[in-house]
Amino acid sequence: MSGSEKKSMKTRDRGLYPLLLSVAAVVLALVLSMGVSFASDTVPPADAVKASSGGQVPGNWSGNLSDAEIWRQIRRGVQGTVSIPDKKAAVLVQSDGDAMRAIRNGYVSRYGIWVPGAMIGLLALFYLFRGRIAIEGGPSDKTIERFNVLERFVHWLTASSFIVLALTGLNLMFGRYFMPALIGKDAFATFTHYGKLSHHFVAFSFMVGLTLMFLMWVKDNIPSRVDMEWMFQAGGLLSKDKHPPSERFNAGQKLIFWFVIVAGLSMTFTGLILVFPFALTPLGEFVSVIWNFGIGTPGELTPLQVSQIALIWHGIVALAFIAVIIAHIYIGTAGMEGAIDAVGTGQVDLNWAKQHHNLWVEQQTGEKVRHPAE
Amino acid sequence: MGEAWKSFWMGAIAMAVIAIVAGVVLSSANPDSSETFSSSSVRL
Repeated sequence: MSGSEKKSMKTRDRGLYPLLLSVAAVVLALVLSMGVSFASDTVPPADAVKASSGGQVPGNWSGNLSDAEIWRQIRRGVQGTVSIPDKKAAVLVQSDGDAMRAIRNGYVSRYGIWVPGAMIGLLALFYLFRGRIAIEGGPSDKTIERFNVLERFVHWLTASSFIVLALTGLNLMFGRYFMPALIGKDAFATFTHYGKLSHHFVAFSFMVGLTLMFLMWVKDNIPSRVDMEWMFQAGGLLSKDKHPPSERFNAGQKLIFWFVIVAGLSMTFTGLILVFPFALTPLGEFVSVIWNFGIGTPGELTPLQVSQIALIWHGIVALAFIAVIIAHIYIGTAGMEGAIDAVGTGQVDLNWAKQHHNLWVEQQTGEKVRHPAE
Repeated sequence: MGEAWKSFWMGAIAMAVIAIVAGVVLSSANPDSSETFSSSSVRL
């Protein structure tokens, strides 16, 4: 393009500006005049403004409620009516969801991960302090059946279910923070989708295992006076010289048993609410009643609110559950010689049994047990 | 399969079987999202 052509275009451009400005001014004037006209038609009478109170707009000039009040109610989560099958659509804005998501993705996930983390730290310290608890007197050439095949089967049914649930659950809560960087966003999305389905379905395996475990072992986990002595001596875990008496299950195992039953029931209860949020009304009503420290009333919470409370509680109990099971796995494997055989072959070394469950061995053999190290 | 791990595998297989049955039952019982969010079958 030559210099004279550029100059000519600049001249033309300058000539267009006044024209564009004129058009814009005309359009603006038209819009303003329409707005003034509209406003003058809709301004309420002065006496109506004077008489307004309590959010009600007198004169019914814009319906019974003002727009601001309608939107305020919608923002608070008021429920309307819809004719489609998805009744949740009757709530346009479920504001409690904001708070619950902030708690779950904030406090619960930020501080909750420290619960299993702290347990791992404590176990590491315990291992440094105590080392692996050995069979005192060494292994004998005799074994005794600790758990029969049904008991071992139920243990592993529950344990394998728990591991799948824990891993898929941890992915749901924490996976977003590091998994996309490791395997990519698409793979993470696919993994999480199938992980969530597995979480739902394997939960039923866990429920079956939990029920069988309770039926099998509840009679051996009733607290007794012997447990007090075991507790006072910390189970002899802190000293090699102390060997408190113990029945088939010691006080520590009984505590874990009852924790598993109570936490497992709690996880089952909240999990069912989450899988069937609009179907299991009685469970939701129960949550409504125990809400507000037991002073709630049935129907106080909507199904969505119940689901959100269940989600928070599910996450908190799960993290505590995982921490306790980490300790259980530690003491059953790396922390104690010979313990894993109880759920492996079911046959444990006789000296191990005498050391850790002397009263049970007496019951099984009918002989007075002397500690193997004595 | 070692004797020590026999009960483990039995438990793990049972877990998978129960989960598959639960998955089939749940999937057949729950309406899919196209039905849930559809406005074609309104119930007034």
